[in-house]
Amino acid sequence: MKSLFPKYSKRQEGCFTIMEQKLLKQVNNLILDNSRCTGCGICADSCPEEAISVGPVGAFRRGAIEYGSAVQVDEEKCSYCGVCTVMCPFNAMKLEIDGEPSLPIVEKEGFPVYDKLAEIDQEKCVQCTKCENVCPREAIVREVPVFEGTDRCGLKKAEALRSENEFVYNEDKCTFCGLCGEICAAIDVTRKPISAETGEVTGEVKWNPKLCDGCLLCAEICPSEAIEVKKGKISKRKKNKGKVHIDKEECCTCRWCAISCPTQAITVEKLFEGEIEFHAEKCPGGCSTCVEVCPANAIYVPTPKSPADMHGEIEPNIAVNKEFCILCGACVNACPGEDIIVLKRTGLRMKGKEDSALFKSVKEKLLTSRTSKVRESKDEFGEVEVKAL
Amino acid sequence: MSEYIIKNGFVFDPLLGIKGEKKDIGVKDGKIVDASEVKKGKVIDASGKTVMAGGVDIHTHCVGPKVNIGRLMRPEDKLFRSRVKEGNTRVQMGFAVPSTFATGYEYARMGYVYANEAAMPPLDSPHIHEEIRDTPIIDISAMPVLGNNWFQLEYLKNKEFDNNAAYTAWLLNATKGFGIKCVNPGGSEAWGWGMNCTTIHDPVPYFDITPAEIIKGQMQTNEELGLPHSLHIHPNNIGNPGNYETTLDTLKLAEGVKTNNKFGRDQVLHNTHLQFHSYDGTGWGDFCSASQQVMDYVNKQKNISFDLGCVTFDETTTMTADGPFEYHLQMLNHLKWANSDVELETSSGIVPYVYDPKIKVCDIQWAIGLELALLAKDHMRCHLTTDHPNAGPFFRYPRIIKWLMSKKSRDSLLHSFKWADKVIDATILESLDRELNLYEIAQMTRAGTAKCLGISDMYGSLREGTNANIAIYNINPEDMPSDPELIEKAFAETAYTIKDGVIVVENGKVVATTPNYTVWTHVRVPDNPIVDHDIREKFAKYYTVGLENYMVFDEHVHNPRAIEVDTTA
Ligand code: SF4
Ligand SMILES: [Zn+2]
Repeated sequence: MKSLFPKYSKRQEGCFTIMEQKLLKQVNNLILDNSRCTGCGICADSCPEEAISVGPVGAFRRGAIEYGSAVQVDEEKCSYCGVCTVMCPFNAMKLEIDGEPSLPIVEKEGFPVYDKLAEIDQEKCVQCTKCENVCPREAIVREVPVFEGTDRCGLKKAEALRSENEFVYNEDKCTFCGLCGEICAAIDVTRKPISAETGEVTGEVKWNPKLCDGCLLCAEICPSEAIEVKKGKISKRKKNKGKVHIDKEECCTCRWCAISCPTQAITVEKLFEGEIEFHAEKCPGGCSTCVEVCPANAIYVPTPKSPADMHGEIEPNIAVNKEFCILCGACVNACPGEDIIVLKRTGLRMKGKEDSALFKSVKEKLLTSRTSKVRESKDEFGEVEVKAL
Repeated sequence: MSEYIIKNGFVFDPLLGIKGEKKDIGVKDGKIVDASEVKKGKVIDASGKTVMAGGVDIHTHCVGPKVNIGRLMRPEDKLFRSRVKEGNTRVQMGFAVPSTFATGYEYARMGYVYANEAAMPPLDSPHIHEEIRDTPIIDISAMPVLGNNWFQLEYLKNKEFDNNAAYTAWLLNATKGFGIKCVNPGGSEAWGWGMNCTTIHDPVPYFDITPAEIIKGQMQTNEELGLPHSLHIHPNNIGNPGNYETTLDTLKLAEGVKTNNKFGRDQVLHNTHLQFHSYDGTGWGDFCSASQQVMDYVNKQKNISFDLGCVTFDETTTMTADGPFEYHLQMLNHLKWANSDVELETSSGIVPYVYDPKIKVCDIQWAIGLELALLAKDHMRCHLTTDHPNAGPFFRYPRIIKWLMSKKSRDSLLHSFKWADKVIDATILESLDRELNLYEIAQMTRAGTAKCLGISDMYGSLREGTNANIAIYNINPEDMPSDPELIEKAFAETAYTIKDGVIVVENGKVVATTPNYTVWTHVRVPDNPIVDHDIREKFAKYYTVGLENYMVFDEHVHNPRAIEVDTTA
């Protein structure tokens, strides 16, 4: 008779697939976040129980199928050890014990973790917008106030600058007409209560140097030529409160931000060392699955040249920019061709105890060179099988 | 079959050197025979009339896809401009681009029995053959266009001349084509990308071969195969002021090239509608004739021939495999424009055009066409065409003959122009006193064209034993009419046209039809596995049709009459 415990189940909650092992007193959950999973298969290579397999990566990542996920975990084979959680470069696996995130294998047995280096030097960072734009993983956290350039209700542009303008106004000439205050946020015209006793309108003109950008429009618009603005030095850029930083959990170390940063303020080191080769002559074209699954946006379909510049050469069907490739392997898993993409990892950046037999075997599997294959064996239908080289 | 004897006509047969001698011609069983062999035949009295062989048109656009697009896009070409049905003919529709039936009858009325369709997109060859079937009386051949064909661009680029020859042979057989036509070499392919090649040295995009290399390579292929006709070229830079330099550059490519054929042809290059390629000036303001410069060269070179492409002052339709030119034309005149790019092969365009005598440019174009003919020293190499319907419809040939034979008619038209002074300044026509004679007209319309096409053993002559194709005109060489209009009338409506021994036109009226033939060139070449492979590969990869369906089915070819060429012997 089958025993009641452990009891296994699997369920889907939104984008999460939740594997569950219920023991008498403890509940273990392995949670796969399908919105983060890229189908790279590093979890499958790392799993000591061979409980994880890679499925229809291209179809799933393109949103062509609604069921399933890029990887599948057999909840009964799984030992809820958390190696996959440690090794996933995309923060897509979570191990929870009794509802709490937990990684006993790292804590108790000293399994190593990625030595992820992804930092922004706040001294050099000018809080521009490029890194946020190029990051393929939404790992850039830009906590910087907004200005009127992007949001009408944001800070005034003058607040971005340090200026030493001077505002001089001739009280004798001023008629308190109020025009300058109407057009400029830096000027406030307040009038005293009027009285028939004097029959005059008087008041005060206040100028806020922080909001003045030296545009000189107040002087121009003043009907009685009572205003003069002396333009002082404007220092380049005033750093506002807030900062731009990298969410290390989400960062996949592609280096898009580091390469694009205009002030070289970003340091990122890749998680893996190695090589990737694209044999474009074998790519049939018209597929671009690899382009769509690449989590680092490192693959592209080369733009055709003007025919006058072709000189008998047709652009390759596919290409990779090695600067950005993180050697994750999602492209190899997804490619329907044969021998087009060859991935060779030669090293991993880890910290912690690397000499356990378990880690060594994980490392060996991850360092196995691979490429895709057309005819896979029939027995593992529904699973991706790559060709080990 | 009936027998005839054509008595007492003035016979002009330049191929036999007969210059207007009074001579009887016998017709028996559809063939020409010595008059003495006709015993009981009907007598056709040709006294006071001119007898010539049936006319042979070397360059016309009378059948095929772009002709049909021309018919479709211009229904107004039919309204009020079609002929009334006569006798038991079919309905005849259309003016500048007549229906197939109108085309056949109209040619026959002028005494023509043969037309060479100048541009057949190979992929569309079935369309050509279907229209040939429906064109009555006249025999037709069609030249596949090759100057922008991918196979050929690649073979010639790589200097694989044998492969190019094998491919060309295959294509002629597959399309039941006649010879190699080359339109705007490289430029029509460039037009696939919206570009053009306007000199003979502009490289074709991607293919990186120049028009000069294409033309030289095609001439070499043509002579290597020994085809009946030569390379038939429409050079780059058509219709632009100053283009005569490109024309001369093109013609010079023939220098030193020797002909190799068993069909009696002497030229290696035929420049079609030379009028459109003989322009001087830098723009339409100082546009003027370059006929002198061009003819100085052509007269010296014995191995080139040309046809005129004369402007007729009609509202017509232009249609050519020169896609960029037609686009250009449409940008000038803002009329309708049709364009068709044919995969791997060619392009084409169609635009209506009005040659108005009130416009200086049209008048100069008209003068240039006539100048070329009047400056020519050898009319066996100078042929009468209008590039039908580009410079005007073919049924205006009689009008051009009138202008060529009568200075009086030319001058009165020239002086009637709105901008007569400017036109006279820009041309030399007024200074040319020459009037062509009937012998030269016969050279330009049958003997010369048949010889250049390499079919002079079958057409263009009254030699005994050939098919009886005869035109009898109401014109007396000993008493030429003083009114030039009578010349035009005589050539427009024959007294008799006889096709294969059957009287098809009598007193300008179509009275009967005979079966017409499709003339094509059957070329045997040694097996060429490389070319076989390339053909299969290109069809698998790039063509939208299958190889088996591409080749014209035998039963699709109407009354084929094959000219045999064997290079394997
Ligand atoms: S390399 Fe593979 S995945 Fe990428 S486009 Fe080519 S066939 Fe598709
Ligand atoms: Zn033409």
